[in-house]
Amino acid sequence: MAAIKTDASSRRMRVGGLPSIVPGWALILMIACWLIVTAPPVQAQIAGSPHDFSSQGWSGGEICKPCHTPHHADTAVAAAPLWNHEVTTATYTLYSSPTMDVNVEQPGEISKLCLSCHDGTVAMDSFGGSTGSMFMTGPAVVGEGLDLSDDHPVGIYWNHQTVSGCGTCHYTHGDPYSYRVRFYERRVECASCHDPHNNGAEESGMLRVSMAGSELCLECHTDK
Amino acid sequence: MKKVSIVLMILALTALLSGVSMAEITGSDHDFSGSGWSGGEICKPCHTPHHADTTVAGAPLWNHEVTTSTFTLYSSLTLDATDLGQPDGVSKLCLSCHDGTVAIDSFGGATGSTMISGDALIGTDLSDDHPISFTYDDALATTDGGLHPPSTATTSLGGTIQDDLLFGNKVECSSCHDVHNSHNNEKLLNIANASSALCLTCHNK
Repeated sequence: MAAIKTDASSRRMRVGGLPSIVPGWALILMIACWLIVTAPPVQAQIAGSPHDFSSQGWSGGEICKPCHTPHHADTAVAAAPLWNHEVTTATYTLYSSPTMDVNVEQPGEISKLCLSCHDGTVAMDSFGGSTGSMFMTGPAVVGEGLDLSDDHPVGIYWNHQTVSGCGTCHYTHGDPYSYRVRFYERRVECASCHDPHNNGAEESGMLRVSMAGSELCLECHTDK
Repeated sequence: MKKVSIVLMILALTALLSGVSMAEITGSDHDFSGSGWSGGEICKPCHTPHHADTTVAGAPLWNHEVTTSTFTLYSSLTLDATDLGQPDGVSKLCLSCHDGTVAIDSFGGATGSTMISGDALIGTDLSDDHPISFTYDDALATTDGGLHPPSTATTSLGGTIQDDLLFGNKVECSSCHDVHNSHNNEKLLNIANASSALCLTCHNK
C-alpha cells in the first residue's frame, strides 16, 4: 500500500470529499466491482425478442398474453403454465432417415404449444378465447403443410436411463433441466434447443446454446 | 385583454392539474353506488363503521359475508412454491364476491341475491388462475430460477417486490390488483400491464 501511496500521489484524482488516500483509479475499480456485484445477472430477455409482440395491435400491447393468462387459463394444457393460446389439432408427417435408430412420435404436448403458431394452422392472435386471423409466414413456419419430415425430429423418446453416468447431464435429482439442452418426459422437443422466453445472447433463433462452432448440435451429437 | 389572458391561464392550469388528479375508487369497477343494492354507498358492501365482523383480520371493519368455499388449487409442472394452500388472508375477502358463491349484496348481515358474472367470476376452481396464497421469498426465486428475488428486486412503485406487492411475504390477489384503484389502471392493477410490465416485475423472463 505504501508503494501505491508514494507512486500514485502525484497523479491522484480527487473525487468530491473523499479521502485523498484513495487514488482515482482505485475508486473507479471499486465502483466497477460494486456494479458487477450488485447488478442483476445479465440475462437474455423476452422483451425485444422475436417473441415480443407487444408492438403489434393484435397483442393488446402485452408480451405474455398471447401464450399465458393470469385467469381463465386452459387447464387441458399441462405442459406450460396458465395457457392462453388456441392449441393446434394437427397430425404431422414425421421425420425419418436411414441413420436414425429411434422411433419418432407425434410432437409431444410442449412442442404442440410451439406448433400452435408455428405450423401455420392456428392464427397467432387466436388466444384468450378469440379466433384470430394473423397466420405465421416465412421461415418461422416449421410445420408448413403439417410436414415435419424436413425438420430435426421432435418427440424422440430417449431411453436414456440405459446410459451410465447421470452426472454428466444432471446436477441433481431434483432438477430435470440441469442439462443445457433440455428433455421433456425424456423426449427431445422444440424446447430442447429453443427457449421461447429468451432471445439468445448470440443468436436470433432463441437458442439455449450458441451455434458458434455448432456447439448446440455437438451437445448431443457427441460422436461427431 | 390582460385580465382575459390571466383567466385563460388559470383555466389551463386547472385543466392540467385536474388531469393528474388521484386515482380513486369513485367511478372504478368497485364503485357500486349506482346499483340499487348498494344503498347508494361505495364503501359499505365491504366496510362498515360499526358492528363490523371482528373475525376478519385481513381488512379493517369488514362488512361482507365471507366465503366458506373449499377451492380447487392451481398446480403446474413448473411451480416450485411449497406452501400453496387454500386462499387465506386478504384473498379470501376478494373471493367472497369473486368465487360466485356469495352474493355481492350479502353484506351488513343481509343475504343478497346478486351474483357476480362474466370475466370477473373466478369461481371456486382456481386451477386456471395464477396461484395465490403462497410464500414468495428469495429462496423460491433461487429454486425457480425464473423469478426476481423479492427482497431486493424493485418495482415501478418505488420499493421492493416484498414491500410493494406481497402480504406477509405471500402472493395474494392484492399483489396484482388494488381493490381501491389507487393507481387507476385497467382491471384495478397495481402496475399497468403494457408490455407485460406487471408480469415481468416478478417473472424474470
